[in-house]
Amino acid sequence: MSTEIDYSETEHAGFEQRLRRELEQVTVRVPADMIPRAHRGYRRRLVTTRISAITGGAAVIAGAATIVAMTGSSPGVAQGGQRPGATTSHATASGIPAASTLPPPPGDGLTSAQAGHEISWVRTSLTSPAGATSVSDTFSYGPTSRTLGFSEKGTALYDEQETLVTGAGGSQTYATTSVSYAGGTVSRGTTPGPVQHHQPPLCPQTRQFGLSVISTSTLIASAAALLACPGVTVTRGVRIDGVKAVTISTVAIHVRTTDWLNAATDMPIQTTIVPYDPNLPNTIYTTRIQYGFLPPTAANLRYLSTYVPPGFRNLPSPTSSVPPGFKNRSSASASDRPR
Amino acid sequence: METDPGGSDPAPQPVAVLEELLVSRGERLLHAAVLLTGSHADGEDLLQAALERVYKRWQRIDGDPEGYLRTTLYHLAADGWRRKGMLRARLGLLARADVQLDETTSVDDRDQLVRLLRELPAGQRTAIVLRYWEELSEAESARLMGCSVGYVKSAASRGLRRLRELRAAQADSPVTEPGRI
Repeated sequence: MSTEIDYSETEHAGFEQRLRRELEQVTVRVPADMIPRAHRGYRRRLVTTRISAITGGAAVIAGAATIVAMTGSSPGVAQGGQRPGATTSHATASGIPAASTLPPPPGDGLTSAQAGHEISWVRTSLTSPAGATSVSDTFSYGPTSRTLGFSEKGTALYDEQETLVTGAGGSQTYATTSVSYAGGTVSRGTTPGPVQHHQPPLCPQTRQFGLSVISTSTLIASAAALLACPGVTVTRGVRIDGVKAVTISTVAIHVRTTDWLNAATDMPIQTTIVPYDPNLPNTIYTTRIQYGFLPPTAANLRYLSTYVPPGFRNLPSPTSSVPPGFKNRSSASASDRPR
Repeated sequence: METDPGGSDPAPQPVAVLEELLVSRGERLLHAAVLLTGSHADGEDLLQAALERVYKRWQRIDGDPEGYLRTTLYHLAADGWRRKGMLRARLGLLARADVQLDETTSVDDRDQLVRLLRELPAGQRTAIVLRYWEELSEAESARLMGCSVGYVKSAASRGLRRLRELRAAQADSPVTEPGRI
């Protein structure tokens, strides 16, 4: 039997052992606000068709995803307040709002029912502990929503549109278009549609988790109920952006969340989420969400269309959304809950 | 907690379940994410992206949320995570370059191999982490990556070979100051 040592095998084994050792040696610390941040990211995406569905306004479009163009402004919408520095909202040819425009806050004449006939515009500004702010804008009308992301310098980073499509037999899917300015790419695909799910009672949620877990659509539909929840702080007689307002506020999950509502209609004007734990290092971001509503004129409807700059290359559709081995539930049932 | 008028218990909220998961398993998950991306900042971004997906699909999860989160993490990593730049911007993490790194985020000479991981294509990097850190079998790695066993074998093999080449090239180069991930 040969006793010659296979140096390559020994070297190989030694390298692998060293790799295992070094992979194990990396130290990490989990930031305290990962879950609130994930929820905020998810919450931005909730500003979709649910606003229209809950307020019972806009039409659901079946078949091919088209946007019905309307002319003129919605009747009966009183002029809202003016955000400092806001100019008239004019969609450019690309449907990307100019840097100087801000979502017009809901005035005293805009009820939640009327808001269902408007284009909602939600601007989220995230400010890091170092003071840099990045912005995203989400526009929603009927079955379509579009989200644009901007760097702290104001340059466009991404542009994503999602349209709910109802096919034959009532099955629903989302048709998606995603533009990446960083990569110079555009991808199109479909993802599974929404499933009905059990809505947990409102007040226990706020008592345990605070207002930061309340979605925008819930805020619009249930503001009056939220004002009455135990554990929230309500302050009346304030003003914001030229509008008489009432605030509701909670402290939970290391953050203080404050919602400003129009005092006459309870429509949301602004939400802020700020760090609230002096024992934590200052690594938590500050969030400001501004809500606005636009009449669905032909010009404003341009905000809902993704703009693909010339020369951007097409990418294949994203991979399957549900990892293998997990059941894909599609039926609506109150018993469909995660274990 | 109050129950709904229908009499059935309210659904466990993703916030509560995920908070508990991060307390018990967060370091392990973030460790995986850092290895998969080669940097602490990108690793946080990747784990954040996976958490957002879990939120989005919460009502459709019919299994262990940790398993779903891990699988999502590895799927994103194996796909090369095309949205990396968008997510960082979305969370305002572009400012991170200005943040002074403390000792818990810096990596010294001992972790050069880990930094070299960043030089590998996403698929090879993911296969290496699954096989040599998670110590999963080829079949289990293939399931997590959503690919074939053959791909895992070849990706891990090519990745190892490339790491050795990079390491050898580094050893031949002049000594540089330890960088930071």
